[in-house]
Amino acid sequence: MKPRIFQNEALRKRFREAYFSREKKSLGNHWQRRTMSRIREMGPLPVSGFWLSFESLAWRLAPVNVVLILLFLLLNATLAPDVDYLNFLATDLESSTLSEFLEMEGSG
Amino acid sequence: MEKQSDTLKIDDEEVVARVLEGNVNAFETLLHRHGDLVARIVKRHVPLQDAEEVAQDVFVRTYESLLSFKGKSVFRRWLSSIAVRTCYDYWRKAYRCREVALTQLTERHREWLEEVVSGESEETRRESDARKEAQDLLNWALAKMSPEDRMVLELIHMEGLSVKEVAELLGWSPANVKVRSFRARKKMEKLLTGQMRDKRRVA
Repeated sequence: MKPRIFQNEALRKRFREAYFSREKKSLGNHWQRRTMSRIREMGPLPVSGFWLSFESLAWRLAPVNVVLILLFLLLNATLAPDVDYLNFLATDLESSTLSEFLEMEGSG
Repeated sequence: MEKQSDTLKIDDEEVVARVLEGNVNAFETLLHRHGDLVARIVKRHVPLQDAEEVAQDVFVRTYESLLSFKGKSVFRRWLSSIAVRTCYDYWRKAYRCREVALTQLTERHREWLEEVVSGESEETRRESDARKEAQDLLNWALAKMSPEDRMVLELIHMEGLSVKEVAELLGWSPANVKVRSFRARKKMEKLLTGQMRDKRRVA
């Protein structure tokens, strides 16, 4: 079986040492102060109430709502072209007969 | 106004409750208490030049999410999870914007790799040089992976966390973590083998 380089314990040890040595570098002295000023700028958190819970629930249910709307539209859509065509013909026939009749009336 | 020293002796859940009551300054206690933990996590996953920004983002996200902290889990663990996910988001954004710096490897790195794998590296180089080469090689390989594979490789193969722990930290299913871990290891293997092959070709 081919020896696996990444399974080599010496190499893994070196990699691990290098990985954890990243922790030793300093972030600087002021990052916590800067973080706190960002938090203060944001102000107090909104109090948990009915609208806040409703809003989060509405967002959580948004995908379900979209699926339901699509399903509703799909069920309402007429997916019968032959019926559509017959409907069109029937309407057209009716209107042309009516217009002919009216024209006849007009001329007469 | 309540001073920060007043909240120093109370536990995290109580501090969270005070922040939720509108006492923004109480959050400083959490920041001081867990700042080192977050800084350590962020420095391990993110390049140092961006680590401060990401560490700040972790606490801002924590503050914004305090309403969803139920107190059922330990605050420290909850915070660690936010920190790891923020680092993951950092990499997702970096890869999307193609801002991942690729370390240039030289012959020296390939030599180092071969020496370590063949067991000949002991005491032949200065420790700091060896660490630099390991760091460069690791950074180079990680930059060639997807953000998902990178996070899983770091957490499982470098930090030694279990699949379950990683799944909890990243909010993924254990099966997904297992698959990613396998893929990441395979990819790493391929990259390192490629480097060894290049070395032999040059020799």
